[in-house]
Formats: sequence, structure tokens, C-alpha cells
Amino acid sequence: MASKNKNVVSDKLENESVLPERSLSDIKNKDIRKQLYAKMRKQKKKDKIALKKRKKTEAKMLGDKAPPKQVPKTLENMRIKDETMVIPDDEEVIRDESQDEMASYFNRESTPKILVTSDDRINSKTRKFCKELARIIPNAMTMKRRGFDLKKIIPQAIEKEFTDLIVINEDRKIPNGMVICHLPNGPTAHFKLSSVQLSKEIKGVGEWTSHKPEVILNNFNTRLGHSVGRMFASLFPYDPNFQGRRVMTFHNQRDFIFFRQHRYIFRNSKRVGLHELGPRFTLKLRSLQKGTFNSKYGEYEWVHKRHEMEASRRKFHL
Amino acid sequence: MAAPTFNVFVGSETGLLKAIDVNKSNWSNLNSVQSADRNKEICVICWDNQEQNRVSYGLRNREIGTYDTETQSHCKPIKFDGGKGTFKGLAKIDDNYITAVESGLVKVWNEESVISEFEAGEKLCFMTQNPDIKNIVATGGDENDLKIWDIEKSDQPIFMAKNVRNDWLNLRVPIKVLGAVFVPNSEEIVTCTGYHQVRLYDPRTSQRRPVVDMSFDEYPLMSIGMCYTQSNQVVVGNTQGKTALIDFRTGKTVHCFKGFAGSVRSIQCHPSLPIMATCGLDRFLRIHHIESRELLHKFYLKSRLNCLLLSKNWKLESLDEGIDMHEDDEENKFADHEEKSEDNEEVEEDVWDQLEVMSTSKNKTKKQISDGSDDHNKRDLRKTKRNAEKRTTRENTDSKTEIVKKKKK
Repeated sequence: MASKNKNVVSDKLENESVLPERSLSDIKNKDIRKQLYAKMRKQKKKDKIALKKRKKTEAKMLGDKAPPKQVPKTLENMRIKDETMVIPDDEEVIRDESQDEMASYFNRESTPKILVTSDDRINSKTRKFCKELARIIPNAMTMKRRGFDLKKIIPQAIEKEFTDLIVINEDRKIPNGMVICHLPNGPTAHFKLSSVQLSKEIKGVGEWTSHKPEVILNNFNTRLGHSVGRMFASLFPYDPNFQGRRVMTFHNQRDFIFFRQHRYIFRNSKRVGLHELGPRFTLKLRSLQKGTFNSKYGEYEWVHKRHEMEASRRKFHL
Repeated sequence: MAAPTFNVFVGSETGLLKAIDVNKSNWSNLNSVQSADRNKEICVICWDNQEQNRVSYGLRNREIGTYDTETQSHCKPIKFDGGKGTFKGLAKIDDNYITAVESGLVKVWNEESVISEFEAGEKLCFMTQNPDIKNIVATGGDENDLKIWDIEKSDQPIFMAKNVRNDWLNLRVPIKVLGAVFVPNSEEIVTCTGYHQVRLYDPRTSQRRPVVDMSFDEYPLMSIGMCYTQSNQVVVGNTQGKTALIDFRTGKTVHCFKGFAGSVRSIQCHPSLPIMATCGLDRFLRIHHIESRELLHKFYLKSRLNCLLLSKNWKLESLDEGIDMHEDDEENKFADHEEKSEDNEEVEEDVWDQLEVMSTSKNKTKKQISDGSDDHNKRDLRKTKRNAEKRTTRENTDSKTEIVKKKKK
């Protein structure tokens, strides 16, 4: 009985109210549907702008009492707090770094001398990339691999006083990996290389000069990031030539390291103009191994383990 | 308390000795950070006395230092001479140090005199002391197979291992022993190698080859730790950070521990609780529960870690209502365990009694479980009754078929 009464009541309500609203997706005619969608989007945009304006005027009126501006949530500010973030004045880390493998560069005891080589039997793109790398990094040279083992190249390079060895790996005719091995006994970092664009492929590219570049390392905050950042820094000569206004940036965001080369010019004290030079590429750290290249028997300081470490989208390691 | 109770001591590559108080979740450097020096890297560490309140550590520049937890001070480091290379093993017997260096020289000495010394082969990688029988040590290294020595009769090793047979390509299997642990209450010894093998040797038998030879993963096994709470199990860790609990009798991995990013340099298990501590190149000290694989504690220690010592004194909140576990209280612990198992059995009993008695379709006889008898006997009774039923049903069916046959006839 009660249910019957309920039905009667709901029928009445239905008769009184309008039929359920039809959404735009129910319209079968494509032309009309398109037009109505465009109208809806325009209206939404207008509403959004109006809301923003209103909020701005309200905030101005209220002055200090205005509600705080809402900050959108991004992966960077939602990042899981990493215990290994380096505090700037941490004495232990400073002591550790002053005695690590790269210390001889930072103490100005050795000047960087880099050997760039590649996989065996490479394609033209990788060859051009190797040559470009050897040109843009001061005091670097490139050599053909000719099938030699890395473990045999390394002792010879140490004898000839090279400080770093860069190996570009190729797969499917494009460069896809990079191994940076600091000599004589320094760490070996293995990166995944992607989005390689040579200078010729970049639109509006400028011609680079041979001034010693400045190096910018952004966002290498954790202890692991510090080690990797130091490795990059030790590739370049110590005294940059500021008159040349040439800068190389290694920007770390979400564990991806973006490399760019620019010439900058200060138009006034607030605005800078950037002219892109040179190649662009992206790196992602796969492993950091203590000692020179020995992937099977070497000890790893950090290895990227996909299923264990990527359980959370908000956790980054560099 | 005047002195803070430290549960774990860790030696790092920068030369800092770190002590961690797990219950208060804090840690501190026992030397000053200014004195941190790569030349004073702590390579090996061991307890100085049975009560575990003094720690001895060996440095890269071949000095031995001692830290006393009661007075919270370091003793002046003692220089060591003889042989070449850094320390690879450190142990203490009575008041004398047993040290092993990379060139193979193993010396038993104290500050005044040298008691004995012997050469254990070149390119030594480790030396461990049997925790039960203090004068037995094991050594091994690169192309230097496992040797067990008795310090008192140090001219010849009491056991020299023999290499395994040639592999399936008829090539000699290379040797690189990186760590070993003694199995408690027996003479057996388990080693881990740089070619990802875990081997069990038994010196009592005449067989010099390993009794069990198994492989784990594909990377060198840097460290091994004996699991005292479960028999025949060890924990091994490799250079990529894969750590696993291995049963060396069956030759299988029981389970792996997750979360390591770098090479695991040292593993130690607690003598009576199912806890293990690991440290490695990823600068973290982790404490896991061995059976449940749960990560109990994790400490970021800022420097690459080389070696660690786990104290006997441990308070676990999850087990045993927070009773302090000491090795002397083993009897009490056993008593607790027995009571617990009896309680469990009584609970099971109640469950069985509450279950309804089922009658079989063929034999409509009710099973009656007799009261007041022991658990084992009850189970046996049920089994025998079930077996008896099966026999009777079979007989019945036979008789039925006979009847059918007769009818057909």
C-alpha cells in the first residue's frame, strides 16, 4: 500500500515537471550538434572570464581581507616528500662531496677532457649527434668505436688523461641511450636518451660560438640528484666566459633531464632574450654505478626498478 | 638513563660511525663530522665484548678504533702493520684482535704482542668468525676458495673447499667468495659468491665440494646473513639491491624483500627475533621483519654505508607486548611459546567440538568423537574411523553389485 501511494505521488511530480533534459549528445544531426557545442563552449569561456573578473574586483575591494588565491595542484607541489632531499648547509653532505670522485674537478686539480664515442656500426643520425656533442663541449673529441670493448677502452683513456667517457647507444637508427663514465674511478651513469634534435632540425636556430659556456643545473635536489648534477658539471671547463653569453641548461623535472643550449641577452633588468643554439635532448637516469663501467660485476648506487619504484605517480628520485 | 640505548651501529664510507636508536627513531654520528675523511673509511666492524657495549672498527688506513657506549668515547686508534691492503675482516677473541687484510695475512694480536699469524691466500675478500666457537674463522676471496682455520693450530686450514666440477660447456667455474656465515649448532658453512651462487659446505663429511650449490639472480651477491629464527635459511643481497630469503636445504628462494635501490653491503639478523637489518650504497638502513617481509624501520643516513652491527637488546612493539628480549631469557621465551601453542590447540578443539557431526549417506552411523582425549589421538581416531567407513562402503558396494548381478541372472 505504501509503495502504491509513492508511485502515485511520483507520477504527479513527473506530470508537473518538465521531461528530463536532453543533453547535446542526444541530438542526432551532426551540423546542429556542432553548432550547439560551439555555442556552449563560447558561453563557458565567457562565464569563466566573468567569474575571474568578479573575483579580482572583489579581492581589490577587500584588500587585505581577501581570501587567499587558490593554487592549482600539480605533480610538482604534490610530490611525495623525499627523505634524501639535501639541506643546503648539511655539513655531512658537504664533507662527503668534498671527497667524492668528482672532487678533483671541483678542487681544480684536473681539467675536463672528454671522449665521445658510440655503439658499433651506427647510423648517420647518431654519428651527427656524436660529432655535435664533441663540438659543443669544449675540449672533447669523438672517435669511432670499431668494435672495441668499453672495459678495454677505459684503461687506455685513463692513460691518455681523459676525465670522462660518453658513449651514445643506438637502437633502430636513432640514439636512445647515453653512458657517462667519469674516469679514473668515478661513477658511471646510464641514461635513457630521447627526443634528440640536432641543430639543423631546430627552427630558427642560431650559430654557436666557441666561448666557454656557463652551466645551469636546475632542480637536482635529492642526494642522488646532487651526484648526477656534479657529474654533469664536471664535463665543462671551470671558468665560463660571461662575455660569450653562452649557456647550457640541464633542467630536471619529474626525473627527466632536459638539455638546452642558448645565447642570452638582457634587454633590461627584468627581461631576457634567449636564442636557441645547438642540440636538444632529454635524459632519464636508469642507473648510477659506483666505479667505472662494469654492468655485470659493478656495484650499483641506484638502479631504477620500474615496478617497485613507480608505484606512486607523485614520487620522484632526482 | 644516562647513556642512550643504541640498537644498531653502522660504519660509513666517509669514516663516520653512526648509531641508531630504533625505538626513538633517531640516529647520530659518533665521530665529529669535521673529522670525516675518506682515508678513515670504516671497512669492518665488530663487537668488542660479549655484553655488546663496546664496538671495534677497522679503518682504510689500517688503524683500529674502539668506541665505548658507556663512556661514549673513542679510544685512541691502534695502528696495524703487516701485509698489504685494507682490512677485510675483524673479530675479537678474549682480548685479542683477529684481523685479515687484502693480501691474505690473518693475524691474532693485541697491542703488546702478536700471538699468531698465517697467510690465507691472496686477494682475500672476507673473514668471518664462528659466533659459537670463537677460535674458528673462515676466509675466502677472488680465486681463493673457502678455507676454515683454527687459530690455535694455524699452520694448516682444517677445511679447504674444492671447486665444483666443470660446467655444461666443460669450462672451469671461476671462484669469487664474497661472504660466509656459519650455521648455528653444526659445523656447516654457507657462502655467497661473486658469480651469484649460494653454496653449503659440510666439513664433517669427507666431501670437499659443496653439498648444495644454488644460483640466485644474475648479479654478484655482496652479503649474506644467517637467519637464526628459522632453520636452514639465509638472507642474501646482491649488487643491484635484490635481497632474498633463501632456504639452502631445498635450494629455493622463499621470498624477496622490496625497496632496495642500491647494492646491499651488509646484512645481519637478530639472534632471537625475526628481524634483519641491511645497509648499502643507497645510504639507507632498513630493518625488515623476516617472515612477513614488512619494512619496520628505514633511516636515511646521508653517507654510503659499509658495515653494520645489530645489538641483542631489542624492543619490538608488535611482538610479545613489548618485552625486552635478551639472549639469557631464552628459557622464558620458550615457556611463553609453549603456553601459546597450547592455547591455540584448545581453541582448535572448541572449533571441532562445535562443528555438527555429519552422517554419511551409505552408512547411516553417527561418528561420535570421544571427549577428554588428546588432540593427536582425536585426529587419529577420526582418520581411522574415516578409513574404516571407506572400507565398509566398499564392501557394501561390492555386495550391491553382487545383488544386481544375481537379479540380472
